[in-house]
Amino acid sequence: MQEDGADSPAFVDRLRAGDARAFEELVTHHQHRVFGVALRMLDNAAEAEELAQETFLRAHASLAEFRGEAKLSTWLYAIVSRLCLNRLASADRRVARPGDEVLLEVADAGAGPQASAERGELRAALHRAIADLPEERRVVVILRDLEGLAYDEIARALGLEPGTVRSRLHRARMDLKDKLERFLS
Amino acid sequence: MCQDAREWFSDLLDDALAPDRRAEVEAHLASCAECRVELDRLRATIAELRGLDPARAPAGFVDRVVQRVYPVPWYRRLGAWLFLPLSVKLPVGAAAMVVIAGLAILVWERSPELRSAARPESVAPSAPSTAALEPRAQVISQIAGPPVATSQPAKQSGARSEERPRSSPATVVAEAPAPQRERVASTPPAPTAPSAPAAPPAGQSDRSEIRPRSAAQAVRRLLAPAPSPSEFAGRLIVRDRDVATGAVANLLTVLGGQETGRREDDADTVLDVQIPEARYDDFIRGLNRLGWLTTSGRPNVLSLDPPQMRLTIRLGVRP
Repeated sequence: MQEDGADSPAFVDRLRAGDARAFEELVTHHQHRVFGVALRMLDNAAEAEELAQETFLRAHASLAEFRGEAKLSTWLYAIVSRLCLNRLASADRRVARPGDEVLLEVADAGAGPQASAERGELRAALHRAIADLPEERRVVVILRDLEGLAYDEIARALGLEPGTVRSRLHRARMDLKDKLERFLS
Repeated sequence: MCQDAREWFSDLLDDALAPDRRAEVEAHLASCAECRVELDRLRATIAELRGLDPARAPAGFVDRVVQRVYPVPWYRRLGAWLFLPLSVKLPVGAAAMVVIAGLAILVWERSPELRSAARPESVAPSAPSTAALEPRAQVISQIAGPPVATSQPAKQSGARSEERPRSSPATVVAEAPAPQRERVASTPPAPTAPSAPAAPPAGQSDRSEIRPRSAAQAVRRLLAPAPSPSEFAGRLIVRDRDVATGAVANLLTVLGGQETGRREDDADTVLDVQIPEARYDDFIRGLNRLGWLTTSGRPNVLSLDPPQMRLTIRLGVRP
């Protein structure tokens, strides 16, 4: 069983040895994170699931090479981020980019109808603003502000310099702030 | 100076600035109200980002991944099922038989109409011998005659309604009733012409059809799933409500849907619509292009042919 915030050496050894139950634990533990990154990047649930499955397949195929220097979560984030960026850059996707995908969020049970509608508008605007970010900025803000990765983890996952991560994150946040201007005034 | 300071705002909010740089930025903020406002807006933006509900992988995701990584050949799965120990299969089978028999007895005991319908003399002469093979909608239609419509619209509290559009026999099926008030559409696919609630058909006063129709109603009641209100709620904020209402009507026409009801509620126009399930995602995308759409939940699917969804959209105007 995995420890919170860290991967126990015994678990990593079981994974690398091809233990099927350990792999299933890995998928169970990280499925929502991986799917969440894919969904925010691709803005399409069906494609996101396909890519999330592909992430775990690739991880399984390269488990023997995983040395445990980085966290398993960082490693999985790296795979899913790369797959998403490749998919977004592919010619097919550029031509047939699907329309906006509504990320249905549960209405705020505690707020009144007016406040709930306004929150819904803000969140819908935020979803659209994230989807409209350039891919290289979008992935950084997703990993930092939605998934909670540290700068150095993001840098390692994406193969970037920390300064580049910082710069892209700042640009992404400023873009989102500008798009939410009318809600934040 | 403001431009330079703002370049460090993200790092400042992430507590990632070196002490000397932090001191510089804070000194600037102390003397610049505009930058303080910008910093607050950036802080609020990041708070909103971090407050978004986390996405969840769909149900069954783990099983699908494991199946792809460790595929079990079909013959092994069949063998595993066939060679389940008898100690498991026998009790499960016996329990299933007991449950099914009990349900059948319960249904029989609680439906005198069904018993009377089962007697040979109560079957309508027009009922074909191949009724069991036809869609149940047509069977019910043939037993009951023309569809029965209530004489008043269902209340918003979710009273059951027997209203059905008359045009298609496939829609005469005991499915979940409309959760809110609905009017009978004149003829599909003309969604924007709501008519007065339909008067009972002439045949309803014909006494010779009373017994078969009540039997059919009993069968519908028994076969229909428990009614549950739609868990879908949608609100569309637009600039011009009339333009948006027309655009929604066009969208429904393009997607093969229809408007089943419309009413005014405070400052909103409330539209009840019905669309094919296969076009639901396109409908949502279309609505998103018309204004700010917020939704919660997903509409129930009606077991029609093709499967349909009923949903209610509130059109409001941005002040």
